[in-house]
Amino acid sequence: MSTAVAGTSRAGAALTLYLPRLVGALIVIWGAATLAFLVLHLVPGDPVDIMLGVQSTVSEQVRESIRDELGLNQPILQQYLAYLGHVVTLDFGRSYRLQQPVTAVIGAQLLPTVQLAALSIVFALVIALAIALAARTRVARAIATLIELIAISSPTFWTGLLLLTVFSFQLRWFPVSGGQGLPALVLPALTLALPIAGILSQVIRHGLDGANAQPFVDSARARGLTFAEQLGRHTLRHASPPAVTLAAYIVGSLLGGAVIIEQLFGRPGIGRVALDAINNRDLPVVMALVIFAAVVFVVINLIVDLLYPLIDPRLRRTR
Amino acid sequence: MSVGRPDLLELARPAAGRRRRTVPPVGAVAGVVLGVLVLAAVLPWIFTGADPLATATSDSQLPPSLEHLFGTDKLGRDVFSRVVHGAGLSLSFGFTATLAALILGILIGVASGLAPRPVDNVIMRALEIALAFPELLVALVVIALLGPGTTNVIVAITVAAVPVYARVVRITTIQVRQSAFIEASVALGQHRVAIVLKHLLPNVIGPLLVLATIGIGTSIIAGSGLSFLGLGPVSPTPEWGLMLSDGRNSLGTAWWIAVFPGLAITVTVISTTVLGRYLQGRFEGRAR
Amino acid sequence: MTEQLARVRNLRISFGGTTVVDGVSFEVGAGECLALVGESGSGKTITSRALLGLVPRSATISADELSVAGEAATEFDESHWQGIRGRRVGLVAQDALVSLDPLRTIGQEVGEVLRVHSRREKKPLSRQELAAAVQAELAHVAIPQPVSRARQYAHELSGGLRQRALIAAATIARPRLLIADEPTTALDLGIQAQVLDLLDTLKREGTGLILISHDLAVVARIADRVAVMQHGRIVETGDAASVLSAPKHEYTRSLLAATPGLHAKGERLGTLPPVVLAPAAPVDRSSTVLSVRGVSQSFRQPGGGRIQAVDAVSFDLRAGSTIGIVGESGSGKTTLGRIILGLQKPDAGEVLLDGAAWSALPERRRRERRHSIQAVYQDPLSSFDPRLTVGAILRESLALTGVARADLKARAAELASQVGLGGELLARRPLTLSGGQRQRVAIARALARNPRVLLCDEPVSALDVSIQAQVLDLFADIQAQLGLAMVFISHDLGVIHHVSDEVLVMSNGVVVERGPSGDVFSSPRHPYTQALLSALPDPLSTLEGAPS
Repeated sequence: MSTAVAGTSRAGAALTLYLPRLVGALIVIWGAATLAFLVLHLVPGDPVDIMLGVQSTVSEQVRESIRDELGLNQPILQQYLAYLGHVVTLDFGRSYRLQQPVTAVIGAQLLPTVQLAALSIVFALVIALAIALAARTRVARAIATLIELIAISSPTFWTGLLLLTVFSFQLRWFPVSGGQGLPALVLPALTLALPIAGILSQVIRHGLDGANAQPFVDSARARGLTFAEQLGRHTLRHASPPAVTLAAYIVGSLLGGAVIIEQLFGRPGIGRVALDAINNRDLPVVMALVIFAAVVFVVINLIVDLLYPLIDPRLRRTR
Repeated sequence: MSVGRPDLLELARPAAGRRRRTVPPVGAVAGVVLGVLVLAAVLPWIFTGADPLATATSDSQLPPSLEHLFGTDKLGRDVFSRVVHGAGLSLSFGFTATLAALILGILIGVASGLAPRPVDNVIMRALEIALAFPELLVALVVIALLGPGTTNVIVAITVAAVPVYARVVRITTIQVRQSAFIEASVALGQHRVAIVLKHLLPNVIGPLLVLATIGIGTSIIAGSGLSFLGLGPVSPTPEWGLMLSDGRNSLGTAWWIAVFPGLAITVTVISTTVLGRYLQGRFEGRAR
Repeated sequence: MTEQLARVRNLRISFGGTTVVDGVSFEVGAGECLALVGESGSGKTITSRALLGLVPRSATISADELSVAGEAATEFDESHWQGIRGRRVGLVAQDALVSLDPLRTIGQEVGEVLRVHSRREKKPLSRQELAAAVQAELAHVAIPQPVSRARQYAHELSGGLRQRALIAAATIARPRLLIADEPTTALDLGIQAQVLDLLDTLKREGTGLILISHDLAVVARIADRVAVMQHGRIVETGDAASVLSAPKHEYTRSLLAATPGLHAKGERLGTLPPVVLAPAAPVDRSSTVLSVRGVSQSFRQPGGGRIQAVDAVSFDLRAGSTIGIVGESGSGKTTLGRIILGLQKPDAGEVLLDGAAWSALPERRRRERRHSIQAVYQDPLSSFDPRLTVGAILRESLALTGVARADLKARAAELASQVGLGGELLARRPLTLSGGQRQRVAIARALARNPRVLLCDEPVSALDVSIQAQVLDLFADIQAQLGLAMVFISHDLGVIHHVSDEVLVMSNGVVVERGPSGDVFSSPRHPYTQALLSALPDPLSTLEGAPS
């Protein structure tokens, strides 16, 4: 860093390091919000029609008053600015269909999806690590490759059905659908976790292979380390940055996957909210979910950015 | 300035040799499977004489037998015939959407990678925003706008896939542009346009085509997933995702209705993935 | 009689059907340095790994005797080897930047051997004991401020300190036997000398040392005995002085003959006959083809501020002569090369080609004259489009020069044979060629454009010494027959001495010394040049009897 900020070098350095990322994150959220706004206004048809349903026989007068209330008669730029203001205050308007604030609709359904996603991540990590660490011999590697391939290539709505057939209908270990508590969560979470575990296992294995080909592993082996010590002290850490890079992608695919899983297993959650909203063209809800997804993505990426330097000291630019 | 580690290369040699021997048959098998699937998509009648739409209430929910290889569904339709006829739609989701996304991705990515810094920055930012959304969510939003239907499903998958390809193309373009052999061509006296056409583009597009092979599988899953959610083609059209969705209520009594279309999806996706990886291996073996 | 630390009799290692080590025998005693010398592929590295039990699982290994630290190692299982590695036999690898785990601190890396072995021996050390041992060992290898260094990471240390830390990581558990695998190859010359001195000290303290090197000069400096390896066999062995001064085996002699520093310009290094090129028009050797006038270039540094990469460099290059630019890494010589090639616009100054503007031209107009100045790079592979075959690479260059389409194939074959490439190679991709062959392709591609100036940036640095000799001979043939002027950039004083008529010594972007090659090397005036030359592990005294 330059000498001018030497006095406050640490804080200043941290600021110059993270400020661009913070700005970048805000740009992504702003972009998402703008996109949502454009979509809301590009959608063919009158929003009021969509709101009231096609068969509605409400008089033109009432429609006009609704337009006024929603600000739809104002110039587009003014609407946009007002909309941005609402977004900043987490006001996403009211659901056309449920006649409730969008925030309340999503908020009420958030917990089941978070539970599902959290258990899925745990499953995915455990399965991926198990496969990656077991694949040491040539035969085990071939088997691991096959398992990964099947896990990645099978659509969740199919593996979910298979798991249901076997574990719910035949063995009756888990409830068929709905239900509360952990037992009802296991199959959906496992279904959601499988493709992610496949990808994660590949990435970890690739990372371990890459690390194992590095000269420092020769040094470590020449110091008398066992394989477990090599993993724990050296290679696993080298394999983790690519896996961490996947974090945002994984959380994204959890969100997307939740739409299918919740439908398949008849679970409540924001995936269900999303599907209902799309089927009913409940656009304020759809757009709030779009912004929600962008925020989640941005937050995960900020965390990842903070994690990298902890894993790899070469990325700590400040000293 | 380092001399490299020539002596350690000799330690690595046997492993590299081993890999090459086992892979080609796997790639070939995947290619053959994919060929059969394409054939089923184009000429379903050579695989089955049964009408995928013919109902027969007396034959409702028959288990797999020689007469009905994959059994029959609730309305007595032959599941095998429906799976074969379903190949057309499912594959067209994969191929059409991937091709469209590929073309758009190459246009955007190459333009961005070759454009001056400020233009590149703007495109890159836009791609970052687009990539902030899970692909399925983007597809869902497109469907929310355009409404459900087969064509709209293809459009939705395409829109969702473009940013991924565009980003890969942009990064590859920049990497290739900065690579030593491009500078060597400049020093040789080669013309700028010739360098882009003869050296840059082939090296960008080659690996991308391989990636797109794998992308076909992803698009097929996405397409059948949207159908599964009831946003694509409607009953009684034979389409794998839709068939799965129809069959899931009879899981306890007639598992075959849902299991076989799902198996078809998985086999298709596995073969595109394996073929893509095989091509990737050959390409990298040649290029690097 | 000294204590035997390792004894190998008739060691054989093979992969599948390929034998890479074929009946090797040697022994090493305490306080003794045995050097295994050979080119890449000679089997020297894998031989040394056999003493650590680190031969890959896919290899078949057999030996009449393989004893390490007095025990018969042929009977060892993996856990027994783990007890030997680091404790009885240490390994110092080539490049500390990658041979130390970049994610862990120097202290963690250096302490690892003690930590792991004390735990295995059921006498785990406390944190404090470990830290004290690490500091003591860092001090032992002469690393200043060991306490704060232990907290740093490999990338934060200079090359020399890093390599010392790597040595400390191998010696902290006091193994009696140390294997040093090309321990100085990645280092600049001045640091090389320091690291060799450190290894020499360890040897004097009683450590047995197996030094693996391709570099005879390094070997001459500290080895007591030398074993020369070729194709998995030891072809000659004996005490260092006699092997290096009076080599008996032909391979050893050819290795010595190929060392460029021992031969003046014009002497042949390799054993291949000169190539025959089409005679070109006679060259006026008094004319200046390239002028560099006060060229400067600075770059913005990642942490802020600017670094002056090239600072007011000037020289003239006459037709048919070679100017050598020598300097350590970071001295600015490669940036200067890029400016000369017109790939980078200098901040100040200008480059003239054939007396006319060159660096100042817009690329569009420079392109018309690019044929006059061509380049050969250190890593030829990356300078070729990976999709193209050798033939296609040469045809592209020929087509640019205006060779008719119909003649391209024949001309490419002719060109290839002129630089010593067989016609069967034209259909192959450079990836499948050897390093020497790749460099010949690069040279042929440059020659296809009929240049007047050839710029070579470290063209032989990645090559084994015998291949390096052939390529340097090829450059000499080309210059003699075509009258090309050459700018030859290298960090290797021996190579520069061999190829240059005039030498520029660069340091931190500045030319600190210049003059005719003979003068600069025999009586350097600038302290930097003097230091460089004195750091050169000079085999000349040892090698006076070497045949030329």
